[in-house]
Amino acid sequence: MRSVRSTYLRAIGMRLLAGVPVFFLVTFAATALSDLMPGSAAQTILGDSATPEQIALLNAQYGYDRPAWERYLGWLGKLLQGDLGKTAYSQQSVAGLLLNRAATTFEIALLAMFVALLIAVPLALFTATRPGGITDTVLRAVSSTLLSIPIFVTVVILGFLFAIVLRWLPATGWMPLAQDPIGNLGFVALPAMCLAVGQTAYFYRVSRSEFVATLQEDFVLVARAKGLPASYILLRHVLRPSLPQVLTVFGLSMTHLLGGSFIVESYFAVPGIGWTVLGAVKDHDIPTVQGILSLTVLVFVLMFIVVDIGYALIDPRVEAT
Amino acid sequence: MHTSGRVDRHASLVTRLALSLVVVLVAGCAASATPSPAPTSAASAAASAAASAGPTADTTPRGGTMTIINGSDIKSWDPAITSGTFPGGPMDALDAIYGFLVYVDVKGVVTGGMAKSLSSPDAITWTLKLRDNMKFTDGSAYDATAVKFNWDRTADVATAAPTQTWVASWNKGITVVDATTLTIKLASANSNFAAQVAELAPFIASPAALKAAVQKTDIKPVGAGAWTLSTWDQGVGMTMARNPGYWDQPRPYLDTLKFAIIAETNSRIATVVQGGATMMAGYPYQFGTNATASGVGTIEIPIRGINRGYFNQAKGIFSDAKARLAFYQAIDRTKLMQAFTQTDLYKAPVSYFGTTSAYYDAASKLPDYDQAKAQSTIDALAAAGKPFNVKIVTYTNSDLKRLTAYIQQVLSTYKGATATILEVDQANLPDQCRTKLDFDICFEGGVLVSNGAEPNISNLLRSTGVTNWGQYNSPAMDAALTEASATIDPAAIKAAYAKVQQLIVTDLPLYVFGEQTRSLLVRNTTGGVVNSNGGILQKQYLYVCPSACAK
Repeated sequence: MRSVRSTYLRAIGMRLLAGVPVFFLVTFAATALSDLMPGSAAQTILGDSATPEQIALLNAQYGYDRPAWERYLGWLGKLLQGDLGKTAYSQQSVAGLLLNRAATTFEIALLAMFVALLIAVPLALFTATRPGGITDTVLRAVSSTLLSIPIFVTVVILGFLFAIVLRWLPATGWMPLAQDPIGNLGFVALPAMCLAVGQTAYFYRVSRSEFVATLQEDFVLVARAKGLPASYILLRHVLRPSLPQVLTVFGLSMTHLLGGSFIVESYFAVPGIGWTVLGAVKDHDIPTVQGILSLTVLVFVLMFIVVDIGYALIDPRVEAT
Repeated sequence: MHTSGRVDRHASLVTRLALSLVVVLVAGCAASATPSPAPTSAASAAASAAASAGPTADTTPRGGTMTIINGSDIKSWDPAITSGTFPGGPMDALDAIYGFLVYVDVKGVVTGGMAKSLSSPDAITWTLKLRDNMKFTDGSAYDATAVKFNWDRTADVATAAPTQTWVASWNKGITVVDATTLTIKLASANSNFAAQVAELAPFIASPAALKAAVQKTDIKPVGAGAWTLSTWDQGVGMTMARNPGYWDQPRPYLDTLKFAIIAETNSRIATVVQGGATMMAGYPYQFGTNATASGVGTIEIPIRGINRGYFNQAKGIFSDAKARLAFYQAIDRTKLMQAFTQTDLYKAPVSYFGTTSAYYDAASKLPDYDQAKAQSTIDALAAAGKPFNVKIVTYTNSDLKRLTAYIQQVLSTYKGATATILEVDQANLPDQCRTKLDFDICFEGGVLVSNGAEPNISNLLRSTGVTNWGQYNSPAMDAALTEASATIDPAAIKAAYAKVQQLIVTDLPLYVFGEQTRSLLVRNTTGGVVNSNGGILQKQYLYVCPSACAK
């Protein structure tokens, strides 16, 4: 038992270590690349009518004129003391801001994932038992169509339908879960729905293929020959061995959802990390960009750890290494 | 919808004619700021009436919350950073906290705000009279010394205020007479000084708060305006509570004022239509049928603005005035506006000033669309070794993309004319056009609103103007603008601006292709809309109507 635990710990440690260079690379790139972007923080503060001399003066006052590596080391030094800094303009704590905004993004992403799995997996199980049937054919066509619709089209269509025509859901904004759980449901529904549309189709197609393949395995034939109930065979003998593939897709999908959140959050003005990083990049708010990138690297590394460990837990043939 | 649009414009025309007469009459008096609010719509009339009737008779509904949607957030609470007084801009938040010392009402009259008045008998020595016993929210006195401190700070190079040069040209002449009186002696007569203060240096913050801040972004919002800041979530929005110590009780009428930041125009519109916010500023062509949705109304802000492009007069084809004339003649500006706005709501402007402006001079008309003359001029330029190859620069934006594509298409129909388009990031446009002068014609988005002539006209047309991106340099224009500012005689001002208009149509320093007014898309229970300067709301007058009051 102890050796299994140490194997897991070693596996987790290796993956965390592998994330370290990625972390340095990404966060340094954020500092360095900000110099290549049009404008500057000083320009953003002073506006279009500021003179080049005034912009240079303010850049010097804030230290924005120092080399990228010097600014980066300064940021790293503070990070080692547990200080992610303050947002460039409102002087909010970046750490506090990240917790707040990340909670919003993850709530939307997890709800979208939950809805997608809830719809896709049962449908895939159902149609996998009748491949080539009418339901299967129709659902494959529908899922292909949904997959081909880009997220920026989905947000416009669903936003128009549910917010403008039907007026069932808020067009923009956010209500934190802790503040008003019922109100939160109204605000989370539309963004989650938009993200879930593509995910449902994606999960459906992957799960269906996996279930169809598993249904042709010998152990399923044996189970059928034994006269076990179909529902038992599906849940016990088909679902579990297919889960590693679904789990891989789950991990990749989470990264996809975080990417999709940029568009969804911008369109529905949801203050998540996607919306925040877009604004921060545009406004040259580098402390906020650094904080978000750090969080993103951490989340991705953790996500892959969870997926890898999940493989080993689901399928004993897979070793955590 | 079109019929209704025409009726509205007709009504607006009549209103503007009446307003122009008022402006001429008012201008007959000495240049001064007067302490009366200016309603811009039926919805605001009640607020105004209530305001003038005094606190005891004021039956305006109190309490409630309104949410104003803006497209972008502020970057600091520095009162020295001003960025245009259009509605829905970052100055909304600064105004809520600090309040305008004086503002220009929709009739073009400089009106008392935090100050009682800013007036001058000769346009050289100006007297600012403050209200008695005003306090900042930190308890310190809002007095003449505080005003001087703020203006001296703006004039200091280290503050890096965009208006530094202008304030530094007169701050040495400031004298604190007593706690509520301050005089400013200008180097030369400037009848527009009060209007310029309203636009460029209107906000006064607590000196203690300014001194306590190391950097601009450290400045805490301590003012004496109608509101105090409760929360600010960068890029998302802010919440403000009514300032119980505000000088003009019982205003503000609302308990809570919120600003929400939504960058996407369609999302802003959808939010108001659905009731998620109270109002947003925009243009009728953007609202479309949403303007007639249930529970929604629109309020026109009767302050005209122009759509413009800058001709590069320092180098390239447009350094020749004949090429600028050919450009005007080559393109039907009414059709250009149709392409730009995707509506047929607009006609080509005939002058820099609107036809209802007190300064409008019918003798000076911008060139008409004339294909034959354009071709002839283009041919003549080519014969003189000046091929009509135009580099159009603008920033990435769908409206501007249509605009520039239309121009490119039209120019390609002329023999010997070509156009190339360069789209840059919005943040890069000033650098590309103003600093590098790498363009033949440069288009900025949006409408440049001008409530009265200054400071916009000098900024655009003076050789030293901060928005003179095309490097137009005409001693005659400088002299005419100086002449207009140097007198308080309405007839002399009008005569000076007649010269300005004559020079505009002769020299064609700008490509004026559209004229528009902004509108507010509001929930129909929005009352107390009082616009000022470039359209910014005097938010202390806002109130929630018990039933629909905005059409």
